[in-house]
Amino acid sequence: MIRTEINNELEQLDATQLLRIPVVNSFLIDTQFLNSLEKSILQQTFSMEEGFEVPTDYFTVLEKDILTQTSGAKNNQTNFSIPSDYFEELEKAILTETKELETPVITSNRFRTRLTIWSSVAALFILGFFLFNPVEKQPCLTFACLLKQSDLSDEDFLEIYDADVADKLLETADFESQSEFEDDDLIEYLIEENIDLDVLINTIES
Amino acid sequence: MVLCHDDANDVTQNTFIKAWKGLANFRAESKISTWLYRIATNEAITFLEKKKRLHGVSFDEVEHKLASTLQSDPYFDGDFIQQTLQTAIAVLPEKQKAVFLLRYYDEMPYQEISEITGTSIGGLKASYHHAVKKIEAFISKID
Repeated sequence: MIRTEINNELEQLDATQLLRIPVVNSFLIDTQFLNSLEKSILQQTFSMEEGFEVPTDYFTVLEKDILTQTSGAKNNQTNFSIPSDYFEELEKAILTETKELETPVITSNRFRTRLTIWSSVAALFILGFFLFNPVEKQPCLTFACLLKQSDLSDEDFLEIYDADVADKLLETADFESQSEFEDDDLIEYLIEENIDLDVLINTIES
Repeated sequence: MVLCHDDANDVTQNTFIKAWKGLANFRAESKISTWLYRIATNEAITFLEKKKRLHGVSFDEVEHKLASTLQSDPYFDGDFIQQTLQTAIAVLPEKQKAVFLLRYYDEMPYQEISEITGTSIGGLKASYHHAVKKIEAFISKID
């Protein structure tokens, strides 16, 4: 049935040459071919599977070897003997050493040395502070300065009377230094102008 | 597919060895004959490609060599036209050769060939068509 289908297909494809050739198998096979093939395949298959042969006593010997090695390793471990109370003693020794370390002892000499060092450092610090940061009080003579000192807001400033401002200026102004300066100038002026100071005083008193 | 008796022997052996090794992976989704055909076809294609790569001969040389091989082969019992047909088949590309042999000699339905080669039925029909046309041209040229 399929042969007919194939021939129809070939006709459709216009394969006249193929249609006239008889479909035969021209390849010959020996009568013993399949038997020898089977043998060779089986040989190859099993030789692949049994490629590695295991000696009969392999696993027994292996077990013995492993056990011997393991027991040997055990014996090696016991070559070093430990006293029976070793770990209890060790614990006590460690605890004693730790406690000693926790409470440090400071001798009197050591304390004095430390005190001297820290006092010197503190003194140097204070001295340095006053050297590099001199406190100078400048007289507050300006209106802005007064405002800054009084901590007044803009609204408060509007309520301040001029008279109060004048009073404040008089309070804070350094009139002493200014008067000293003026007296010196005045004496210099009187000397330069040959004015008798006694006559001047009498005149003022009278 | 491989023409030479010794090569066929090697391919057959390899096919059965592979089948034996892969038997555990056979999922019975297809017939065991289809599965064996699949292994054999792949094995033959691999063998031919390997042989072609090793020898590295031209198309004409292959043609000539195949013809002389068949003439001297004691396992080949075909006349001139059979020899010409086998030579024409032998020079086909491997896939076309496989499809043609499975259809023309083994009388397989396209569905089964599709399962063996892993190609769609449409693709197989096209391959078969090309193969027939090439064989026709080859035989006509010889005649």
